[in-house]
Amino acid sequence: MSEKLFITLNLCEKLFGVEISLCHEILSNIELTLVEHTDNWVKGIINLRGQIVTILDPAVLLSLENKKQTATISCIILNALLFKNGGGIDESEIVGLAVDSVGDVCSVNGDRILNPPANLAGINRKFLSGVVTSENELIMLLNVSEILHYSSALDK
Amino acid sequence: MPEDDNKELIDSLIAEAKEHLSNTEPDLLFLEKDGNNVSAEIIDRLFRSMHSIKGAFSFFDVVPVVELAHTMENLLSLVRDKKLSITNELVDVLLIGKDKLALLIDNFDNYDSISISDELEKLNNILEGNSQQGSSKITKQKISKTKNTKPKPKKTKIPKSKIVTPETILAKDSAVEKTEVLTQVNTSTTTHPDEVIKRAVKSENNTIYKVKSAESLRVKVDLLNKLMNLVSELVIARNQLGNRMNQKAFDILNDKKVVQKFNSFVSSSEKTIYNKIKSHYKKKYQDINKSTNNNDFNNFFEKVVTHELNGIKDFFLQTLSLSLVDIPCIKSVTQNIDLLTSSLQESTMQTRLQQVETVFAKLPRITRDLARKLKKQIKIVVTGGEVELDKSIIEILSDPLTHIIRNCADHGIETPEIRLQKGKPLEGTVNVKAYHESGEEIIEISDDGNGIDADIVKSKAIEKGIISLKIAEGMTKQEIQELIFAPGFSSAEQVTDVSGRGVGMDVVKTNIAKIGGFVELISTLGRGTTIKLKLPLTIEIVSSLLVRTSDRMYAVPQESMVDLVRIRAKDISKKIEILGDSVVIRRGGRLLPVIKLADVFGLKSYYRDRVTGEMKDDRRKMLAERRTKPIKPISEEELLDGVNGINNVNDDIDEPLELEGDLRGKEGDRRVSTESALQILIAKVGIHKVGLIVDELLDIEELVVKPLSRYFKQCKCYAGATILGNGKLALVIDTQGVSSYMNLDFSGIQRENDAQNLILKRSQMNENQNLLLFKNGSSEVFALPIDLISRIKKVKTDEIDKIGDKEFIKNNGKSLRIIRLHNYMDISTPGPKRGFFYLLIPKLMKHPISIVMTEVLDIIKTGVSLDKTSVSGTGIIGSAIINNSFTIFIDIYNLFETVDPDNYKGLDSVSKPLLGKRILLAEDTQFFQKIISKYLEEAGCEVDVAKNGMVAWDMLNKDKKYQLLITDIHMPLMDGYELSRKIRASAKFKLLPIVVVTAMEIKSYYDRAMEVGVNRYQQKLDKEKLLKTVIELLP
Repeated sequence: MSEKLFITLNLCEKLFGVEISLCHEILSNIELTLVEHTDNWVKGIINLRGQIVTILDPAVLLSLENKKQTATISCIILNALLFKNGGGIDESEIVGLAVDSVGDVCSVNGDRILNPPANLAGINRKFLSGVVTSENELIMLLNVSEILHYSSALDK
Repeated sequence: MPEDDNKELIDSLIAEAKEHLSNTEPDLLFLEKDGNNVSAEIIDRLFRSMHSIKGAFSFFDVVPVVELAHTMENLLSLVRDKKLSITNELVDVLLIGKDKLALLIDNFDNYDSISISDELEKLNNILEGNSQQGSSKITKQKISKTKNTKPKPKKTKIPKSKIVTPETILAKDSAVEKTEVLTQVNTSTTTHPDEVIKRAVKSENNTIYKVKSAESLRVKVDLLNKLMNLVSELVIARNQLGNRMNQKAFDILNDKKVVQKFNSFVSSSEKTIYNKIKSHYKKKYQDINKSTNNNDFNNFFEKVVTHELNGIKDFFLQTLSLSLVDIPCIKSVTQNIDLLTSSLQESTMQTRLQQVETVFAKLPRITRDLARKLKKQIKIVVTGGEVELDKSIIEILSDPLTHIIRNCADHGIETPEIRLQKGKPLEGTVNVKAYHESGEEIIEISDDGNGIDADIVKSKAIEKGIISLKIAEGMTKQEIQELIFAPGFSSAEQVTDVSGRGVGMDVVKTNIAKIGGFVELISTLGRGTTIKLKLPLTIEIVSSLLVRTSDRMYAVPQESMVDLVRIRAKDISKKIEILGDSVVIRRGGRLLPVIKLADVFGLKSYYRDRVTGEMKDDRRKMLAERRTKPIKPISEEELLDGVNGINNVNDDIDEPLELEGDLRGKEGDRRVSTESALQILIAKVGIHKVGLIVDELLDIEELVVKPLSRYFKQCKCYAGATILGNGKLALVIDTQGVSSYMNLDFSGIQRENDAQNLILKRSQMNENQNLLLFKNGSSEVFALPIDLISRIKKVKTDEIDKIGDKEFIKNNGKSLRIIRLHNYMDISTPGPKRGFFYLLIPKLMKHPISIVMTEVLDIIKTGVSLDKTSVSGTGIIGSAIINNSFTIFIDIYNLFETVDPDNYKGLDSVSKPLLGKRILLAEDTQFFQKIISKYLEEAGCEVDVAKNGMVAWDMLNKDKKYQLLITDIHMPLMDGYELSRKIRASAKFKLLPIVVVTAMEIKSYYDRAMEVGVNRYQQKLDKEKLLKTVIELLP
């Protein structure tokens, strides 16, 4: 199996990974504008060089503990191609994932990715695509399309 | 069949065909208008269009298009060669054919499914009719021959192989076409030599025209939109730059260190100069008297040198702060960027501009079709087609224009017979004009028809239930005419093809409003109607007011704002009222619901401290927290109850709120300081208005509003988001969404408000009382004095609990009985139930029973004369005409005695001792006169009524042996205090028991009443208590 690159990130002191090809850029210390009346997993909006980007909170989706609200956040902006809708990219649909901090890029051999074990206490397995053990650490790989899909299923 | 490989080619082909067709229609209309005198140029153009379409589509074997175009081409060639005269029928058929062609091309993906047989038949009928007339069998063949490959039109199915020939493919090329026209001219025997030349020249022109058209370029709308976005971002960046620059300049001027440095420099140089000059003088003029000279010198020095030095210092500081900004020549660069960005923005906007002509073009055709259908003669004159508007606006304009033209043709312009009678030209004219006026683009559609008859509109609107009779009475002619824009309105007797469905003009108004435009109507009966559509130049940039609520910034689009109001802290309790669960302000005599923006978003309120600039918690929980203390301490629950609030503002109930600009408050008095004043933004919500309380009103800015992603779709409170000059984001508020989120229910109240207002003003001369008007699901209107109402509550039907045949509802943890008026009173039963209703909870009752209302109409302050005879029965005290409606006044005690005899009876036995007692009642309000004397009379008393203190005094003195006086406080001529004082002062009456009754529980009133020596001070209309008091006090 081929090697895959992942970006590791911290959410509530747990290590997660997102496939690098799905990431567009990493932002830290960016000011978040809260939007009231939305689901709690929709964190708010940010100004990304004149573009308004929606920030989702994977921690809520994964049913991790609630964290304190901060005025600035770190986030991973997902690749615009994920939001390709027919012909063009709908810019207003670009989404970022809020994270506590971003770690490293790590290369993982495809066959080292395991199905998420059943005993991941307290974590919603629905949004994980697999787990990888690396240097005594467990990296939980986020299922980005499930996160996006989950969101879109709700507006019906 | 078209293949995907050829997609691009097909796309361009379709676009080209559409262009041809768009020219075809006006040309055909010319053909009709000018008949056989039409210029050859037009016929040529028509012919060429058909020919090009045929050629292009034959390449892809699109049989129906080719067939239709071909047949039309044949007809046109006959016309061109004067073999066929131009008739209305001919134009009709050609137009039909053109429409079908357009349809086929618009639905290119499944053109197979569209039948063209009807059109072909019609076209061929004319073609054949013509050939049967004899002259042109040969011509037809000749034409076929000239066209080389064209099959005979009789055949409805063209063999494909024949069509796809090199010639027809090449026919797309205009050069080939030109030669073809020439050859045709040559072969045509009937053509006049002059015309041959003319036509050849025309064809030449045509080639030139085509070269010209290459100056423009097709650009994908997507790309333009993207460009527009980028420019918008550039504008934002430019604004940020500007902000930062100004910040810098500001900082330096306020930099204390810099100023200090300068100051110390000035004072030290002052000293040096002083000393130097002095020593200089000493040397030169040693002989001069020292002391005088010294004084003189000091004065001079101070006046000139110190002053000058300080001047220099200020100048330096200013120059420095300016030059600091400009040190790296940034200023000129930023100015340049500023200019460039502005012009870039302007140019980019222009790329999205389209000529109004694109929508105007179809109007002549619509008019023509309508005129024929309606058998009227209508001419349309279109001017200003070259005016340019944003693409998005153009797209939206199409429907409204069609509806307006239809309306003109159907309702405006009269039939020729009527026009003849009126001495108007037989042919009606519709003028369509586009022009620019003071920052707005205006499209004006006027007709010289009959105008709008306000009377007819009024009766139709009432008939259709759009307005009620009483509202109609209060409306101006203009307002009535504008009802044609109301949804569901139609004055047509029958639903026809043309109009009568009552959707048309409604579409006009909503569509124009959607793009931020405005519709104006001017109509003179008998003269005609003019409709002006006022359109914004562009809809991408929205001018909005920024407001702060809590720590958030929100933008409110200016078009959804009406007014800004500031209410000083000391006026809050006067101007803000609480009605049931909702807070209202009275503005211009109308009640407007008021909501706190912070509540909408569940935020905390902060105010900015005037001294420190810090944000502080706004501890005021309730908007209208009372500062005047009532007699006894009241609970928060009672605070919410509206009646006190309403009573307190009795005196200035209709006083319009002024927009207060005076920010100065008395030092140390927090109540008048700015930070606790209320900032209210009056927003438009459809036809209604809502007050939004915000913490701070900031600037009005031009903002680029961006849509929010689908994750925010479920929240209707936002219209989008925007990036501010400082790079922060602000959400743009959708006032409509906010008001529906807060469940504001305007049902009727606002519209009634208008009509009520008139009555209100008219009746203000009389003795006034506050009445709540409400309905019980039927047409009857009921009234109850506000003084009797504790609160009004909105309740859902499913909150009702039924026990036996009694209904209850939970209210503050207690069960509250509810009744429906029609179960106890002789009134009509209500119509179908809705999901919710209002509960009227009366005041001053030991065993409260609430009354169901389906609709709260209004609260009015009015004087009425009660009519006791027209209606009577259980629970009815009388009736009056309020606001043109027959209004029933409810006798709440009588009603409750009937409903709940156990709790409300028994009074009779108590009241036995009152039999034959003589009581004087001084009361100015007729309603209270009636009701209080009724209570007392039922208990057996003999009651005489005096309408003011003066009369009461007279009556007392007329030797009647009154045993007790019940008096109101506020009465004309002599009030209750005065009367009581007089009584206590006289030897004759000083022992007469006096009971003051009032609707207002206000401490100062109470104190004063006690001061003048009354025996009791109590609430009006508490029957039980009143009777008890009377019994106690009577000897």
